[in-house]
Amino acid sequence: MIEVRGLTHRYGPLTAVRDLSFTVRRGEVLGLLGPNGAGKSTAMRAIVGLLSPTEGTIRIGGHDLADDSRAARALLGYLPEHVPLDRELRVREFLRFAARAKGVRAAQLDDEIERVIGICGLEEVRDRLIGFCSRGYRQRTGLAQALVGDPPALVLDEPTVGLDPSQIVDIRERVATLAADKAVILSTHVLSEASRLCDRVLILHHGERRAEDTPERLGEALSERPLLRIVVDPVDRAREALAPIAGLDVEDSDADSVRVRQSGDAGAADAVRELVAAGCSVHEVRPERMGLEEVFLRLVRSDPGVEVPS
Amino acid sequence: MTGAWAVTLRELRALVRSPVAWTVTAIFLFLHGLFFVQLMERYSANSLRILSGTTAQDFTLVDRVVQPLLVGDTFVLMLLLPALTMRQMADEWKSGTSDLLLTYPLSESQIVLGKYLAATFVVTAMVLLAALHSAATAFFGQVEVPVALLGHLGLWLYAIMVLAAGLAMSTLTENQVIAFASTFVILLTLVVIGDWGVEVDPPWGTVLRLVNFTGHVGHFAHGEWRLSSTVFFVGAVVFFLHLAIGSLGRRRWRQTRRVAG
Repeated sequence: MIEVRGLTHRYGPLTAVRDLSFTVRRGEVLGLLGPNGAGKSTAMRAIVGLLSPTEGTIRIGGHDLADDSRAARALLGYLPEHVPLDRELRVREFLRFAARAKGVRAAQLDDEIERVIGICGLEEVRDRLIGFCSRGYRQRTGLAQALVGDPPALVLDEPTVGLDPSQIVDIRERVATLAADKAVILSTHVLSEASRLCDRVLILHHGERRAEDTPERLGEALSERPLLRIVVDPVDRAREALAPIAGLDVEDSDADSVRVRQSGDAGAADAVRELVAAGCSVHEVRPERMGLEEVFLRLVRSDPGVEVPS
Repeated sequence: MTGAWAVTLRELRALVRSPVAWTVTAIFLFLHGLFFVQLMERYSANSLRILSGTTAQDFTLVDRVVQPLLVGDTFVLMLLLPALTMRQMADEWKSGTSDLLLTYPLSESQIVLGKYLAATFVVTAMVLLAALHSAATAFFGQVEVPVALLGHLGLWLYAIMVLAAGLAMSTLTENQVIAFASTFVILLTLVVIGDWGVEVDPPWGTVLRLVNFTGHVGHFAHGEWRLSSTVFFVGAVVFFLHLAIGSLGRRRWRQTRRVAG
């Protein structure tokens, strides 16, 4: 549904996005991750036709965004990062405008508006001026305008930014529901959000693709050296006991456990033997997979020892 | 056309809920009324002088009230209408609402025409309300109605030209003050050039006088329908709208500002 080939965008001498290619099919959610300045927003603005890429092509539903822009845009719903809405319009008036602008037929306008109001839970505020709506309701209105006309492709730029925890959960649930029959591109700083919502994650850094895979496989690919989580008491003595063992590196610890990376032949049995010998009580030893957060950090810190999956 | 109409309705709602359209209309009607009262006072005084035999000069209500009133309105609208149009695109750029507008499947022409139509509705209402004074004059006095109607048509044509110029300037900048000032400068330049044309010999004088919009409004107010005046106003509207459409298109594809992330 969304096909990006060789997307490059330069702002003068600065290359914001370099040779980015990916496709998103219907029923698939692609997460665009990256630190500030990674090029996420530039890529998203190019995908929705807000800026013309320096190089590369973007096709939405087979329509080239440069040559057949209106047909391509007719298939898109876009939620910008800082939802810019007409504050002097009522929620329903704004959705009516969006529906008309997207070519929804006059006879279907009311039904379509009620449909998106229902999906986004805007019943309470449908006749309220947008300027008087809370941040959460404005975000939902932004999502509703993206959904109006039932476009098959959605581009959501940081859909939960600036919301309180309950609003974040609410928007996440709504996005997860929508993803079933749409091609969705979602950019986020919240890695747990990407883990939960995205089928695939594309990590951008300095405008370049650093990795692209499912959140689980990214974790596996980067956890070449197995990790062990050992629940032990006391933790301080455990760290001292494990430190001399060749092939076991203590990565970090918390109040009741230590995390150990296996870098040689030594394994869980060696660790437990040393801990017991040091007088520690070992309660649990379990293998641990690298979370998306750690994958992200390792990739953007350009760890030379990491093989970037693609 | 559905897309343009969608923009028109959105823009009209925004205009009637913002204080700017109401303030502009109120100031225009106040000043128009003030001029009307002043011109009627002068007309009454002159009529009394004729009756008392102190002057033999003949004049009509159209000569002494309607025509100077409409020419005076052109200067009032030159100051007020840019305030109505300055926010039309500049505010969209600044607030970021253009991000949504430009991602909807609307063409640049639909966006510009939609916004232009909305402003034209407001200005039409303003001119119609102002025409009530002339209607009252016609009701109580001797006014040639077709002449007064033609005069108001001239004022309306001038007003929609100002709207087109204002909208074009608004597409060029995010700053409403710059949009306002640049529209005013364009109109003032036309006044100066047109005025200069009066002093220059033909053929250049004739060419320069073509942009003298107060002269064009004056012709309409005198009951003279001139093709050159109509062509000037309609041509200027087409030129400025074309400029606005082109500017919007260029801005869509040449966004150079750095975006975060």
